Amino acid sequence: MRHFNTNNKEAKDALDVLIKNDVKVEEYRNAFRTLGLQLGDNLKKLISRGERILVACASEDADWLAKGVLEKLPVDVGLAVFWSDRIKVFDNPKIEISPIIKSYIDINGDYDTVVIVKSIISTSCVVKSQINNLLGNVSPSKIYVLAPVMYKDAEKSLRTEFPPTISEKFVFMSLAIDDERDKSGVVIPGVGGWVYPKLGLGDIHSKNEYMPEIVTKRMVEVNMVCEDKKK
Amino acid sequence: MELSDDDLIYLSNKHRGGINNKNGNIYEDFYTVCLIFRLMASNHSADTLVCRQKENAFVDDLYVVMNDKDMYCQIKNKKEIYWGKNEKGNICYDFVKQEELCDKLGKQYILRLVSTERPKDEKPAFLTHSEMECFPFYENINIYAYDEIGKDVASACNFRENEYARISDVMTLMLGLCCSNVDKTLTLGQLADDITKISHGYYSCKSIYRNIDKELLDKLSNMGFDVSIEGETIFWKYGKMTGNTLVDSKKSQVLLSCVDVEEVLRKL
Repeated sequence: MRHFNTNNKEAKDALDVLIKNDVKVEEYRNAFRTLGLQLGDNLKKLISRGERILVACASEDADWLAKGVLEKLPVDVGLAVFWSDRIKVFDNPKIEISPIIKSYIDINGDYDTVVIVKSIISTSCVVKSQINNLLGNVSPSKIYVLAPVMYKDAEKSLRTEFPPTISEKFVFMSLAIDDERDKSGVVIPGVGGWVYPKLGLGDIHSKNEYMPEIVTKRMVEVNMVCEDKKK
Repeated sequence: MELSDDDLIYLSNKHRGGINNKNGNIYEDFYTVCLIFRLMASNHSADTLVCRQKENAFVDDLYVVMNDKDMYCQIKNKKEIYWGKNEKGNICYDFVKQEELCDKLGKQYILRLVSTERPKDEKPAFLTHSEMECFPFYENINIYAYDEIGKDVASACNFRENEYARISDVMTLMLGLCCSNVDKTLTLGQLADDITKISHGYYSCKSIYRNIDKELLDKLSNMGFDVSIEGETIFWKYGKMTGNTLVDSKKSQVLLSCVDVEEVLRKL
């Protein structure tokens, strides 16, 4: 059963595209960008002028969902992108970790606000790792967690992972809440299953070879700044 | 000390109850994980044994065999606890009986009561080898990464103290190992190896050493050597002399029997 947190038709249509059986890669990518724009719009209303913001996402979410969010925010927003593995260690009790194997982080001083952008939040394992990683580098006063779709218990589950001094900074924003999982634990209808193949990035391993364009672009910009400074 | 029939029945019930209660006793799991990292961080030997339920013991929730002493822990996640009088069923009784047992064994030991809160009454003065540790209970193991224990984990794994993601991951892995080996006795070395294995090599506990006796390291340090360890090798420095020596248990005994620096320098 799905509960919508939005009345926006474009957003609802995009959520429907994600769960289409024969969805094409381009359609799927564009749907995420549309959802990113919608989430970005909602977030923009809560952001103050001059707030130093860091947007963080997984590598597979960077070029579409996170890009949509970024388009609605000021241009000087920092970016953090994480490439993660997922290791299921034990079945009973179910224990899994998402070690971060590489990352791109714009650290230009500290940030007031961290915005975590994720295609779907289910077990919150990946998001937990990303927040853990960032809190070693920045000390924000607010942490927004944005996802088009969240599992019904995801917010509670993520909050219990952190000490109150951190979890009280969380603000969750989603467009739909789903309350079912299939036998393998995948949220239904969710985002139509695993996002990597549908985004055209291959499986859980090959997706980590994908270098998002927004990262490449920022790295080129940094190099250009360095070159300019040398001149 | 001979255990009476009454004691044996009491211990047998206690042991069975202990095993049954282990499943789902997350507070015990968390404490065990944290103690293992503390031991690793303070350079305890890879041979150090960790047993989740000690048979024929009155203080039996966690038993650790270190080079220099044994540790017995009773772990209670209760709001109100009391040492109580020396009567069967009270914590005090179990600790008195355990001290008596350990005294007979003749090895150095320490008994530890672990709880979220201090007992409401004073520890009886006749418990001379017993101590109390307040250990917090958090809803999730990730929270411990932000606590003092996170620093021990970082030290045990050569992480920086603010690498919360890695600290949390490695604690989660250790929790998995502890939960799935409730009925086994494991060494720190095995646990360290398993961490590397189950994490597909992403993580390892690096500061733990094998076959190098802590007594030997202490002896060398007291003699004025600067020592560091990598694997089974001691990297040492004494004045203008430096060297690295592979130390197995035989070499360790040879060095321990040396009477002065000159002899150690010859044997190294």
